[in-house]
Amino acid sequence: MSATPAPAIEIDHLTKFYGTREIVRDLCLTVPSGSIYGFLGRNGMGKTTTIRILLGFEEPTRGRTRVLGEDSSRLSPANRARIGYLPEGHHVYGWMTVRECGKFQASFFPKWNQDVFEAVITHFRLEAKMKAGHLSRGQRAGLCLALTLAPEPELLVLDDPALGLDPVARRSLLQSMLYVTRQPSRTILFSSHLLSDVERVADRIVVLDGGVLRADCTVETFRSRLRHYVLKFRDTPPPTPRLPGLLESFRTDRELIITLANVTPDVEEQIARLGPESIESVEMTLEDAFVSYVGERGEKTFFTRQLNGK
Amino acid sequence: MRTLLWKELRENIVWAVLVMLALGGAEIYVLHHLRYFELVELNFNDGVTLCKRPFLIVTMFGCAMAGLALGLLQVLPDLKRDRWAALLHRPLPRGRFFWGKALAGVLLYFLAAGAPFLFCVWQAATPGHFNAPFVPAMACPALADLVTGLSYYFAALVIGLQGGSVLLRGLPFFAALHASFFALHEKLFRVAVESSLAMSLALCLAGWGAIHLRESLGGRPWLGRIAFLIVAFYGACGFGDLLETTGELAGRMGILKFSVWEVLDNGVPVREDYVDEVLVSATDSTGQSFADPKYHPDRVRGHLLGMNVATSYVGDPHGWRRPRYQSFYRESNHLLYAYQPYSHPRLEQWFHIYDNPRCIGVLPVEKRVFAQLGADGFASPDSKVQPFSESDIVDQTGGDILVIATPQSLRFAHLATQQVVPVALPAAAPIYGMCHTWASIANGSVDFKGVAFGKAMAVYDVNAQLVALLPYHQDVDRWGSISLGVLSTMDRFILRYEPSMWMDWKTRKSMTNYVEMMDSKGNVLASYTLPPPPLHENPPLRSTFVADRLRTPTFFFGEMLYRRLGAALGSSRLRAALEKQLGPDWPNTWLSGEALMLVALVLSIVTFFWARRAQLPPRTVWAWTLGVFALGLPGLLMFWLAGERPRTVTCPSCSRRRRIDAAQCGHCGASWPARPPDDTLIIDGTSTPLPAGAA
Repeated sequence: MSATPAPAIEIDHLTKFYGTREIVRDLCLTVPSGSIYGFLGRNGMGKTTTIRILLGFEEPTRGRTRVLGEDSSRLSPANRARIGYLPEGHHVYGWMTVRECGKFQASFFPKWNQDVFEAVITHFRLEAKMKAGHLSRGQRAGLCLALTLAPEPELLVLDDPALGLDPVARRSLLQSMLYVTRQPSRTILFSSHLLSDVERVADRIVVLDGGVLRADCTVETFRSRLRHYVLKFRDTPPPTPRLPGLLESFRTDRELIITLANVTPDVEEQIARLGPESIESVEMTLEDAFVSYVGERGEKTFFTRQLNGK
Repeated sequence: MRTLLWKELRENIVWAVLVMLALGGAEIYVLHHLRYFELVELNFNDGVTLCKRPFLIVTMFGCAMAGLALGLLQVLPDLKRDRWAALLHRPLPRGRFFWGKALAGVLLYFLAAGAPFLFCVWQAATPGHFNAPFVPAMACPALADLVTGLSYYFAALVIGLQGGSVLLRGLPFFAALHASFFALHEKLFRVAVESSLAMSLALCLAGWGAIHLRESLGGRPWLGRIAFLIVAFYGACGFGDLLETTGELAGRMGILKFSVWEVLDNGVPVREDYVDEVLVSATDSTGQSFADPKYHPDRVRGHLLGMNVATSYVGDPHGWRRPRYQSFYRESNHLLYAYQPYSHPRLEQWFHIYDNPRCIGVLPVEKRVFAQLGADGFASPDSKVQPFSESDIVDQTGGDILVIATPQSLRFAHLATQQVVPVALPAAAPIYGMCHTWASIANGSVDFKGVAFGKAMAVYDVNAQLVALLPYHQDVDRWGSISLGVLSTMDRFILRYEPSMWMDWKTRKSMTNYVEMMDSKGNVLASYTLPPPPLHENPPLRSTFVADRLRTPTFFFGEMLYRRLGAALGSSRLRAALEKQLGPDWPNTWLSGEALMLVALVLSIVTFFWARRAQLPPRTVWAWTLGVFALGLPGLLMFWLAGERPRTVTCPSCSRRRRIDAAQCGHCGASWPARPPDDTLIIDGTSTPLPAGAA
């Protein structure tokens, strides 16, 4: 019987306050080695804070976190060398050239794969003599990614790597990420707002909402657990009943559109009892599903009256 | 480490060069600009070259600002959230990042502040730049400022690295300020530098601790924690220094009174009574006012006889010596003394050098040494001269004459002719002292030299002619502090006898003084017995009064113990300080001790309840309570600013405040409430356990 590999990341009832504001609340999460996790959530929901706590840059208020089997607040340099971290600002020292950036970074790491470094910078059309301060945002992101990947980390933590990039740069970044995901032993945790990227790369997603974990599942499970129904009525639709798992509903003058999580046959029966002329179940993209999932909950009415008041 | 050092140097070299240019420019400007004033006025009272007050103002503020600026410019840009994370995530121990920064920063600081300092020293030490000789110790004040500036550099690192409130982050600055105050008031260079280095070390270690964890002290290495608490303590002291300094403007706690005996220009003693530094009465030895309106309080100051002390006491059986430690390292007058310049036949300026004692003549226009004068006479600038001995006295008279007195001989050195003329002693050796005095005449004054022997005072004119020999008529063993004055008629001489310096202050203050008027033959024409003037206890400054009562009990009593131990081990400096504290200052010492113990007790009670209210663990509560009792108000400030203060929220179970970082409420023991059931959770359960209360 083969032993189960130790999880790369363990978060145990993590709570973080800034002042008296609770940013992360009672978060539990285990990221197994070799998996690729997309860390999702709206702005200010605690993703970056969680990552910073994981890497020992901040102290948790309660709970504890372990990375590669070691307490985050006491990460040894040896373990840090096994973790690649790309913070969201894509910081580089502007006065260094691309080559100097590589040399500088290489001096700290016991392992440094110059081929990976050069492959990524070539992919981003960077030249060794270019000043880092003169690079475009996308090129800077590429350089940072190269600096993060070249030490060949076992765990890669990317904090919104595509933030502020144009579609071309985003695509380049994604391709580079896909390149590194070819190594099966590598664990990746990356936060992003770009659901299409997440869909292409991630095995599983984690959704944080208001500092609280709301989803930890595969992309397919996430999509399949969310249902979007369009109920058509002859007359004004009735108000949305209190349905288990209701995320949001739109009421127009002839339609009731509802989005639900974890739909059971009982719930479907309750919907049917509303007496609609027709019920249409619409397949959701990951982006739609995510927006519905973390958007404002409750019923919204939409043009139930004519705009001119007549 | 090498790459870190390279990165820090490369990143901050521009700032260092800019600071170097700014500070160097200011120092060189001040040093040279005032040279021209000196050429005209030849006034060295304000310090010579590197000890000039304006120069030291620039070095004091300049080095502090340079250190602070370089530290902040080095650390603040790196502290941007992502940049900091990117830097620290590299696989090195956290401390290594700090040492890399600190080492580079110190190098850059010494480039920025040290290079201008060295340039100024080179300028002062090289002939042709200044009209004064150079003594290496003259570089000490600026060197002390340079070292103190290092405290500001490390303070800036801690300000940047330390998380928390603005006040908490301000403490390192005030700690550095305290080091400045200390270095500014300390007399000994070695102690000033050592204290600044010690403060720099504490700040450095505090910064090293802060890089491990910015938010709280708890997770830092113990050395870093202790260092930060030391910094916090001295920060509170520095804040107090600042308040005390600014508070000195607020005035005294009462009316300042003092009374002194002087001698009028007709040889009659006058008692002057001052209230708040205003002369309110002038009376004779019987307490009567003077009939002559020129001796009324409003005019009498213009009609006093100029008198100088020739000797502090006559005889040597008591072994008393004026302590040398009273010299202040920031002043040049303990290194060299500038005699009055003269211009005949050319402009010359002579200096007395105290180390390896000798006199050096400088040509102010050419800015070069042209002659030396030692125990064996005049010599060329390059030759080696025999230094004067410790007991020799050299004093100027008549502009171009230096009178050299050894215990056994008297010589007049004529600067214009560079000749030394020995003078026969009119009384039995040894010579106990010498003073310059003068008779005011219509269009100026006539100089005289008083030479104190064991039995009489000899008075010479500038031509080395004995004018008078005045025998003592008092017990000079007890009244051996003797001053000489000459009336404008130049045939009447005044001797004033005051208690000898070897006696303790209490005895001296209760003893009478004597004044005698004599003719040139030594016949007493008039004699006055002056009762001791009333001893007024001077009211303290308001700020000093308050500060004395808010001092740290540990330091107050610790200092007394230190002085007692030092005195027992033979330190004359500490013995003198202890005697002063337990002697003249005893009422204040007693009151301060009593008051500060009471204040410490009240403050520790406040701390006890404050800490309990903050829900600190019992051991921490007691530690802070005892800490504040030992440290007084600075301790309370430390607790307020640097003490752990856990955040609290209202407990949903008992509605009282509970710590957010504790699993259970400190009052009712309740755990945090479970999350309300959420039927929208999507957890497939393969990797993550469900949080408590999740549906």
